[in-house]
Amino acid sequence: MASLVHLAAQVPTRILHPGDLLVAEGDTGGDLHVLIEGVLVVERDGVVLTTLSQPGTLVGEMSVLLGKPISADVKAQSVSRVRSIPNAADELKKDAELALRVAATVATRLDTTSALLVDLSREHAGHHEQGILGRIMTALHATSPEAAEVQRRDLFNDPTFWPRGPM
Amino acid sequence: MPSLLTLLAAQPLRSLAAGDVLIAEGSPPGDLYVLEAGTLTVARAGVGIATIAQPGAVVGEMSVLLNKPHSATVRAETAAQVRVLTDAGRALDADPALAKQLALLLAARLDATTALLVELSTQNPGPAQQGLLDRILAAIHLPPIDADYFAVERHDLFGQSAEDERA
Repeated sequence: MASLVHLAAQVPTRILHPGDLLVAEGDTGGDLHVLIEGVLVVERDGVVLTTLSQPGTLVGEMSVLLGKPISADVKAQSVSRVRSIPNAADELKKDAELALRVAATVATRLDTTSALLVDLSREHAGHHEQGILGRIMTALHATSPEAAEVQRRDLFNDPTFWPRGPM
Repeated sequence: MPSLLTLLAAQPLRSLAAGDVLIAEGSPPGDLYVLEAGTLTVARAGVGIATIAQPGAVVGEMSVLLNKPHSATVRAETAAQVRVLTDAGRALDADPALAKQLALLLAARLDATTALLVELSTQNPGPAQQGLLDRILAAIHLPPIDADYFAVERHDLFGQSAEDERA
């Protein structure tokens, strides 16, 4: 793959101390952050969703791509260093290498989820959950946001979908 | 943002008869397809995961982005036509608009699935169903784990390793 050396001169490093916020839920800054070293923790409403420690992990890519606010708080758990690419949406249009890295990151998450859904679907073959799994699968593989929205509406208009009470 | 059909309008068309296999599970990455007309079905490990009927839908993108064999078989359910982008990895390297558009599509699918899972979680599911939803949500938000990939990225992206920077 082509080198991204040209970014090095332009992109500042930030040092975060434990507890420092990298991004906050609702932020619309449009920055794309790359973890260089350290440990970050992702929280929503005070609940820890995941921790990030792999160098090269991206933070903020969904927000940058979709033009939506950041959906969770990300703060440093240990002393951490990040590089932050400002106006990342514009940068992605100009820089195929960066756009591909971001696309590959999102694709990895999608692929992992798809594989899990297939496994779960086989585990639950013939059981009620299979219907739910099939519909989640449809959302994951929707060919456009519009198609996903139609699918979501259909789901909730279907009175047989969610049985009430414990299973 | 231009649609994929617009971006690929100059690419050759391929016609499929009902039953033709467009992509075989396990085959190496290479071409990328965009649906012009007709209906395709997608199956992963024998489990049907999607029906694709919307013109402009992209097929084969995961394999190209992740540079790994196709994880699903795509077959024409009806007579169908697709635009073919040959050697898509190379084309994506050269075209940030295309790479960004793919990243955006994938992000929208993840986002729609997350929204669906969160909505399902608020519908008072039983404990077994909630367990399933939690597992799927965790998979969606798992940070990518590919140490080699990111070790290269870390060096490439900034033109120096963290060790160099510390020195």
